[in-house]
Amino acid sequence: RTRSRSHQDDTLLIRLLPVVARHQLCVHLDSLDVWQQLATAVKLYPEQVEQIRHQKDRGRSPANEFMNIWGGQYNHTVQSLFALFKKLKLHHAMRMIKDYVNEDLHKYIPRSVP
Amino acid sequence: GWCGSSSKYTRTTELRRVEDNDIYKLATILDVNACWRKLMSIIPKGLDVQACSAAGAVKITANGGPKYTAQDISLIDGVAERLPPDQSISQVMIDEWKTSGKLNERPTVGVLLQLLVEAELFSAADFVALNFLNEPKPERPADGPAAHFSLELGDDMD
Repeated sequence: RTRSRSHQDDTLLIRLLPVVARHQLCVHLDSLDVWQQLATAVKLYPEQVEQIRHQKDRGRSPANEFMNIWGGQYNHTVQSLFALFKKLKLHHAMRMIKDYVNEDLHKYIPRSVP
Repeated sequence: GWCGSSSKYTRTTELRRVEDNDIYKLATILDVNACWRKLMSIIPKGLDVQACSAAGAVKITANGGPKYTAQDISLIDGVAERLPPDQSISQVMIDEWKTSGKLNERPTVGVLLQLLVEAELFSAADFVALNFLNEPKPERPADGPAAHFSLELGDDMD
């Protein structure tokens, strides 16, 4: 069962994430090479997927291009990004943005394995 | 300052009457991911702007076809190449659009907002709704990349 929280979500926007935090997150996501999973999970259009691939081929960060599109054009929040990471079980990525989401969501981050 | 219920502009305010600083803020949002191109490519030809400014009034698939061609869009690109790097290309596009057309074709805030929603440019649409019109954010489609993405509180929770 799912419960929608979207209408209470007035949290920080992805496009307003501090530059350093966003950069570190992109480095991490690029090291996992998960941009296609991200794009598929949020149903980006084929031409947007091509655009990300094109940036990647030019040596640019595909995760950053993903955030330009999903955060930059569609105005999604860091809380939605957190939900996306949870869905894809990107637990370290959830941890990296936990300071930008409400504390009552921290319980969804699994404890890190030593 | 503004009191709670008043808005800075109305849906019938012409874009050329909007303060430069407000256009600039909108333009910086449209610069990301070249969103200005998507907006420019769906502007319809021969809008009856005053009749189209109210909520839900724009018929995007109006008979006239698009106002700007791919060549017009390339022209904006050409201008932008000669701009200093900190200048906004979207601002060039809006400056062209806002002064174009005959009296009743000049774009308004209401037309802009509806075209932004039509093109799924929600960062810009949310900004115009909240900051220009003091209206709630426009509704999202139920599916696709613009749809709300929320936490699934499901059985994988311990």
